[in-house]
Amino acid sequence: MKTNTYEAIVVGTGISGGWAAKELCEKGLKTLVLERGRNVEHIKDYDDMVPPWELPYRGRITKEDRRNSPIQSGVYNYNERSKKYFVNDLDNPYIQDKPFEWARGYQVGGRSLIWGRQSYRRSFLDFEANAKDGFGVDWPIRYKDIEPWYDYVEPFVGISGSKEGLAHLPDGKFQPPMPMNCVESEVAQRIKGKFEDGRMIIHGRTANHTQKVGDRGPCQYKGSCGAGHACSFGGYFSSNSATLPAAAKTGNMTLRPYSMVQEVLYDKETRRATGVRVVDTETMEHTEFFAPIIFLNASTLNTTAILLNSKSDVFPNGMGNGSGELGHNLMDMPYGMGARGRYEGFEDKFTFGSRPTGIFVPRFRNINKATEQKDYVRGFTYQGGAGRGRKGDEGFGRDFKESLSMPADHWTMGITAWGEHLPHHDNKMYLHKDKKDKYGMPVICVDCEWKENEAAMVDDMMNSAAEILEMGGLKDIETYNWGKIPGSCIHETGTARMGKDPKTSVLNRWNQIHEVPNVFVTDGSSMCSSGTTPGPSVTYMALTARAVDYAVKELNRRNL
Amino acid sequence: MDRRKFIKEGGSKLGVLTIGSGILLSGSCDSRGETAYNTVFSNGDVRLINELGDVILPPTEVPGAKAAQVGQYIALIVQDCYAEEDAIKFKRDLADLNTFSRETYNRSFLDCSEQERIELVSIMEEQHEGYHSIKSLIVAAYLSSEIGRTQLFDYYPVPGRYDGCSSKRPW
Repeated sequence: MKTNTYEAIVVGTGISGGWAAKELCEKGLKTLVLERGRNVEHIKDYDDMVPPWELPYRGRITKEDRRNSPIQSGVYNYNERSKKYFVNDLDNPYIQDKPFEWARGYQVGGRSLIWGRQSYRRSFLDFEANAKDGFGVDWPIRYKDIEPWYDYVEPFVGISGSKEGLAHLPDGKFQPPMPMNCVESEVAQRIKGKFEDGRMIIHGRTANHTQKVGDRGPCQYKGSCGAGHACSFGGYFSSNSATLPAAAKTGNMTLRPYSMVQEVLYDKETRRATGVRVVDTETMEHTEFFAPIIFLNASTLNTTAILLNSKSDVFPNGMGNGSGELGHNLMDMPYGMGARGRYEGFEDKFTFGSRPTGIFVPRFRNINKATEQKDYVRGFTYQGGAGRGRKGDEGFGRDFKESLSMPADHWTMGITAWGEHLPHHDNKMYLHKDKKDKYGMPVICVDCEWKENEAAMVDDMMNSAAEILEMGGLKDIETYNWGKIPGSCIHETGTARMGKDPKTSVLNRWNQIHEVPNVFVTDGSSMCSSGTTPGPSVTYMALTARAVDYAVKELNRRNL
Repeated sequence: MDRRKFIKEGGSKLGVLTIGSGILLSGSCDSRGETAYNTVFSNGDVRLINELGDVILPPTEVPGAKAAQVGQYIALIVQDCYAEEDAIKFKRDLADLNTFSRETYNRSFLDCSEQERIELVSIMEEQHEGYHSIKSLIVAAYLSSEIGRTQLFDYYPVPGRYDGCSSKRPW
């Protein structure tokens, strides 16, 4: 037992697990970091510098990929090079009671290798929303509680962005923003002050570095991160490039890949968790590890599955599930509604380099009395950008070949909405009664849908986008709706929510399980609302750093 | 010549070709007695794609489609990446093209002279749906090849900066 005992255990190595590892190790705790997948070492294991023509399929997905990973192969940045950072769906089944696209990356670094990198603080509006309109439970914290922790994590993350002084989109500790291109700047200028509701175009805020962060970066504008190819320059934040090396540097981290946690162990005498039961995903051997502090960061659905699977006399329905809310209130974010158009002008201008971000339109609905909507609560934001491709003429032969290098006649610009998904008890995940995966873990079932409020936003998301582009001078504007299903935004949250009342929530204001104070959950499952603004990961990072700080203080006070 | 005729006839002949072909022509020889290149294509098919490629994207100051081995790449991705029905359609489009060549010049595309090939392509440019789907794949294969990426265009694997308002073409 002694050899399997540590001072802290972290389950998962993605965005939040990496932060838990870093913070616990830097505070001096001997920390075991468990990852169900293989190791991926920063730079050494990347292939982003291999020229695209040297890949046999030059990026294409094969039939075999689609057979083995019918869900993952539909994710926007799944391709020949990135596919190694996505799971095999056949080996990792889940059941969709309703269509739910669940993107997963089981390796050291998790989905931090393939994430979208947009990083926005939540505002006072987000933390007050549930209390105001009555959906879900009230957040047990407010913006001022998390603000110092955003301040703490952002400089280490390395977020580029512009300060705008908006209360509903708080500024952060930013590096200089990545520049807008000439069409974006012009359109931003043209719409400035033109909308009564305050619509504006600002720089995207992204965890891509315009300045070095230690030995990481800056961004080389080579376009690999957006395609899920990792980055040998460390030009964007990932667990592999940033938090895990920091944790390792302390000498306090033991990283154990191929270690799938299936259960948190509980001692009813001490009323504390004692450790975790791990299945080695290579040998199928079961091992138990022990520690006085456990951080669950296995991703929303998997963290919740571990808790639901941690049954005992005390917790017949899963650890910490006295409220019956564990697995419920699953949210994603509805997205993919927008507009595009053609810009006349700047025909002699081009863009150089592949910029891993774009422009952003902050929320402008339901931020005050004047912007209140009759048919829906909460709101949405836009991400987008302008660009200019190449064209090819009709025909064949020498002239045709030369025409392939011609720039397109016009620039185009598009903006796409990301909106809020309300918490509903009956949007949920649960464990299948009988079915187990090959590791012996009960299969997760997902039953989640968009409801009235999400549907009520759709037309406005498209129409308001078109209005912005029209005001910006774009021509031939058309609207679109990608018809995305829940899960496909990869912002799943809410299934082990925080709250003030143990009767209606799983975690307290410190991300601590109400009923098991030495277990902390700081990934997406802890959210009380999806938030209106995307880029949720930086909030998980801030909550994780805050929870570790609290946990270690509590440990020293002998309260855990 | 009746340009419409080809489309009608080509279609009906292809109907015959695909009867019972639930699986692709695995490992078989084509009508020219060609050996198999892979499970979908014969060596003749690969040559045909390359030669057609060189009519569409001929060698100029920059090497053409054949030098970029568009045929080999297309054979690989149609075999491994295309859904079976799409692979069958691609094979049909190729056969169709040869049918048209035979109807027009009494010989297969590969047996046509350079001038005849150009004539065939210029006719098919106007009206041949199957040809256009082959062409777009040839162009994609060429642009993604080393020649396409590094010789037709300037290649910047590590741009190192972003200029959103550059006066110089970035490729």
